[in-house]
Amino acid sequence: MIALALQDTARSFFDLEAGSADLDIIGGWLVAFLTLCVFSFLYKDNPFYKFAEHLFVGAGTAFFALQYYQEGILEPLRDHIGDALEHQQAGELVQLGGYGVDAGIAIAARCFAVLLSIMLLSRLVKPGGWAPRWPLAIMVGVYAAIKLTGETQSKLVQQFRGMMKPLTSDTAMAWGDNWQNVEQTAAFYTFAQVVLLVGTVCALGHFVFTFRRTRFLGGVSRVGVVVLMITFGSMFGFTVLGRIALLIERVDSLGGLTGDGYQLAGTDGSVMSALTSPPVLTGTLIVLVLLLLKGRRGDGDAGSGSAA
Amino acid sequence: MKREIPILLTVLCGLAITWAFFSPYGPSQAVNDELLAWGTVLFSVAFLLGIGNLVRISLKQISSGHPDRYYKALLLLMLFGYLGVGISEIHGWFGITEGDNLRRDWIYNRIFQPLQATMFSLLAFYIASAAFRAFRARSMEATLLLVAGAIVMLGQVPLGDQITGGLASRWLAFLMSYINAAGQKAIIVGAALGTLATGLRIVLGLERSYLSE
Amino acid sequence: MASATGLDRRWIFLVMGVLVVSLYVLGEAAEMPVNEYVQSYYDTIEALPEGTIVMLSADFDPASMAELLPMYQGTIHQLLRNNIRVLNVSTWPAAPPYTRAEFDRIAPQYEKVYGVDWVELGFKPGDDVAMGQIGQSVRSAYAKDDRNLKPLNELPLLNDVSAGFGGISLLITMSAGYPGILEWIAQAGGRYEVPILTGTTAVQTPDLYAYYPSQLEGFLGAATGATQYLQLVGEQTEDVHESRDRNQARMLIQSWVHIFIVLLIVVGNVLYFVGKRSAA
Repeated sequence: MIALALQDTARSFFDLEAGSADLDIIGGWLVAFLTLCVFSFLYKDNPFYKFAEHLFVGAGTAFFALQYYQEGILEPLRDHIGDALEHQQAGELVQLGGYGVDAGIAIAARCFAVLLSIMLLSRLVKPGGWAPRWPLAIMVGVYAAIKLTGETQSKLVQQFRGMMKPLTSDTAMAWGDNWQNVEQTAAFYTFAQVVLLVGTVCALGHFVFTFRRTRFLGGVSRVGVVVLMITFGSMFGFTVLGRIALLIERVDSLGGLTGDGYQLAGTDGSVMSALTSPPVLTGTLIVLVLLLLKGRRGDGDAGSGSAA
Repeated sequence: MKREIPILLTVLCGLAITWAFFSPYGPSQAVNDELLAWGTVLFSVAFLLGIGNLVRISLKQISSGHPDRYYKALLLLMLFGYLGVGISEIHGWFGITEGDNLRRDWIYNRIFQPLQATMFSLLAFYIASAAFRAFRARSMEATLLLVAGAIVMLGQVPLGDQITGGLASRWLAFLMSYINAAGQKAIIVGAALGTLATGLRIVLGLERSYLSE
Repeated sequence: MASATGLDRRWIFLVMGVLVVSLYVLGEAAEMPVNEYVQSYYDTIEALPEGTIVMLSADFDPASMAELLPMYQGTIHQLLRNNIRVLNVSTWPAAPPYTRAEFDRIAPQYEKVYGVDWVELGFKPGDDVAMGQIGQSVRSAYAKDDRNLKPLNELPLLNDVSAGFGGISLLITMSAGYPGILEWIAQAGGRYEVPILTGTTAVQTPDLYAYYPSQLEGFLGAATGATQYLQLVGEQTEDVHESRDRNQARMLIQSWVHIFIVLLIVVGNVLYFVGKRSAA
């Protein structure tokens, strides 16, 4: 940290309250180092990547566990039962789903959830026992019913309702009025709605296996395949878009650490500032160590983690 | 009785929630609400069970001298260290204000966030590699897929639209709003029919595979 | 003739990396035309009367923050600028830190008061079941808020919220996958017919065209949607200009990379068919 004295910085070395948009110095160096550790996997699997990977699994598992513990166990059990006890002392009803319920019943019901949780945890002690089956059965019933009702309503009823639209439009322009922007004409609207309707029916028809593929059904299926291939192509195109966006954001994030008080020397925007910044120095360290390791081991297992 | 009682529980809970969807009757809404709360609690407990499995496997690898044992030790150190910090904050131990998030968020922003974001960004490189080495127009269907993908890639970005004289974005708009929408609707309806069939089987007690050992 | 499959893919990684870094260093930007889905998203929020309550669900994690965080920031700006009250929930465990950080940064600019103008209820585990519970009754789903751990009856905003999305005019979700917009459409739109807006990742965007406009009022699709939306919000909000400019610059880098990938597909296929013909 003697090097940090070479340049003035208003940024604190360690700040518990600094968020991700304005990291402290140690945070900036950690982010740069860990990001480049993961990128080093592109060359091949190496100790830096393994270090970052295991750190990620440990941190991620712990973070998720804390969230599930606080929000999924403490709050619905401890806090709700405590709240219900207060209502009981005050002689008030407890609101469940907008309906007032006797506090004693609410407490008993939630205590039964505690019992079910203990039964589920008994799986750790006696894996093949009958006790974990009860909470598992309740979970399956609850999830199945929630999915059944919600998805039937939204993905069948409302989808079919949405498909029942008129094929003509009163608001679109006539062809003659706007031949350059053909998408705004009434004829195009009708054409597009027909494409949508026929495409949907044909794509659904492709999945009908109950009947023999006659010429008619075969033709419908063929059109359906064309529609589905274009659909999958569009999904592929968007997937590429999404993944590239993630990479650009990481490069942008590293770029934000090449100055702004994170560097060891030089003023913001100068060459010295860039060269002594976290991404450049940690990247150089990783490259040097990997070259050293490669030199020691020879190239016997070169490319084992990356090249195919 | 080892199978019958769980199946009965599944049917009762499933029917209660299904009934509550159609009934505005107050007690049915209260039962629905309580069952959903049970589902939330059990979901969380099941997640925590999974962590026990991770710890068990890691300890086994450490004790058996696995080549990655030091990394497993690091994993457990990070896991228990972060858990210790988090639980202290949640319960207000060691002088920390109860419910404080500062230490958890500090570790989250400097370790978990950059690592997860970077792990997923690696996929961009693999997509570029696959584009050159694997994406082949071997059939009419594959050609359609690649052409549609190319239209989307060029139509979504400003330069791509410019080099195609504005055609890419117009073709993209038609392709996405009508042809893609048609295919998506078919997939959605097909999947929903499957969900309906499977859901009904479970709620009526006809599906029992989740109970098998 | 070189075989496409014989080339070590690390060369492609290197070219890709050099391309992205050099374009980033060049730092150019480009404005984009706004599509009807983004315009509809923006207009739906603009049309809300002052004082209405919107439920804003953060359903994302660091893996999707590149696309969703700018949308989330822009949405918070637009809501608070228009004096809309915001009820924050989440079905992804990794999202609440973003909610805390963004409201800490943005709310003071509009002099908003916690508990009156916005409330953070935090993460609710259970996926679809959590959404069902939140929709059924927010007061049953949550015992305390996430920021100050206060009982809900001490937060004035919650006095205007009742069971079955009562008092909530609109649901907005920043959705990265499962659980997300498709599940909200089933649990909120399907059951309670709440109007829904969404911002999603690129992977999920093609699915949404089937739901618009019958089940979705509008949507922001991928980084392109985020950029277009920030352009709209930026017309009245200076604080998003930096984010807007950064996203426009990213879109230009994205443009060149897309052209590069299309070229890779074309060249790869040409090499493949020529090689096949030579072998024959």
